Amino acid sequence: MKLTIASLRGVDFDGEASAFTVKTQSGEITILDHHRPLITVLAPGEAVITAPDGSKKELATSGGFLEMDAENHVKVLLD
Amino acid sequence: MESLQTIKSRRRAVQNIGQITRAMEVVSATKMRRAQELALASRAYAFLALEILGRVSANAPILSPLMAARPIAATALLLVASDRGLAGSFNTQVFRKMEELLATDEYRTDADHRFVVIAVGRKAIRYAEKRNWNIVARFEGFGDYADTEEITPLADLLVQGFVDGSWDRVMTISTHFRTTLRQDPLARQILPTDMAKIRETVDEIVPEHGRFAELGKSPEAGGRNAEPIEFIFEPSPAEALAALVPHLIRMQIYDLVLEANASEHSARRVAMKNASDNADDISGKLLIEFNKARQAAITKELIEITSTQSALA
Repeated sequence: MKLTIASLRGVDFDGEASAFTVKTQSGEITILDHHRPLITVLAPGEAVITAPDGSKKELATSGGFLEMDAENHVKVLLD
Repeated sequence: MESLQTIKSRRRAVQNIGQITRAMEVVSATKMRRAQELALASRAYAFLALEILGRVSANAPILSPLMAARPIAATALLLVASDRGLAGSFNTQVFRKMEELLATDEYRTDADHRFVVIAVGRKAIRYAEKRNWNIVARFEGFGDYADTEEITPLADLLVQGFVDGSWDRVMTISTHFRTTLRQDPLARQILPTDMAKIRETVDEIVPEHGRFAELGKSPEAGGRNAEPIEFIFEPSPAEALAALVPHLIRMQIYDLVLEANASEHSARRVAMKNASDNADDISGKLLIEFNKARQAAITKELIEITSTQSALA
């Protein structure tokens, strides 16, 4: 799936990912390929991006929003 | 021909002005770089936010109060201009766009409909006062690089007024930054959020080429999906929308102010550059004129000496 993470300081991540784990207001979730369309409010915490080759990248979040659309594209707006 | 003294003092005056404009050019060049960086960095965020807002407006299971269109009895116009002048046609362009909007808006002939103005920037306030528009709020000092916290009162006012019915539509007139040499005044509707309006905005602000050009071409840009999407909202549709929609609108206004800042400094830099170049030009011309006048005086004196001498001989 395609993952785009943007904040007011610029684009933090834009590329392919196989999984994206993030803390939301209703608990931690992991988004995999072809997740159902979803809109959720993020909570402060840590997000983990798993690249297609299995390597992980960590990212601190202070809050924001996540949208999974119908075209397998996850968009994250970080505060 | 003018006397040597007048030419000299005129030249000095022109050089002084040139020095001032050059100093202003240097100052606005630094501010411009910073403001452009900020505006461009937040652009990715703003585009994503618009896109999500568009899709959410089209597919939300319940309506957020900010999405509901209703009969329009009042329109709030957010006019964004600068605090300071000497920025070329920057402010005039915005005001012209405003006049154009007032002259062509579909509700202008409606007797029950009224326009209220929210002015941002000292120049906008002064213009609105001069035109006797109904000003409900004035903001100034958003500075050279606006902060999200500074924008919050403005965004909250717009949203609050819409929710409590003070106005039924919010439109903005501001400048969109394209390049240092080109800034476009744009009018757009931000409330109620409407997929068609958001699509228009995206079409207008996406650059023709460069980093974000593909956003305008992608079929999903601005939430233009053909098929309805059934979103899951977490924690619940009501809570997610209540957090998301006002936030996205705030970001839209923030981005708009950043763009206006970048445009203002770019416009001022170009205007000051033109002014300094012009001062150099005029100063050069005056120098030639001065030299000619001086030479003419010398020639005249020489002729007088030689003619006196020949008369005496």
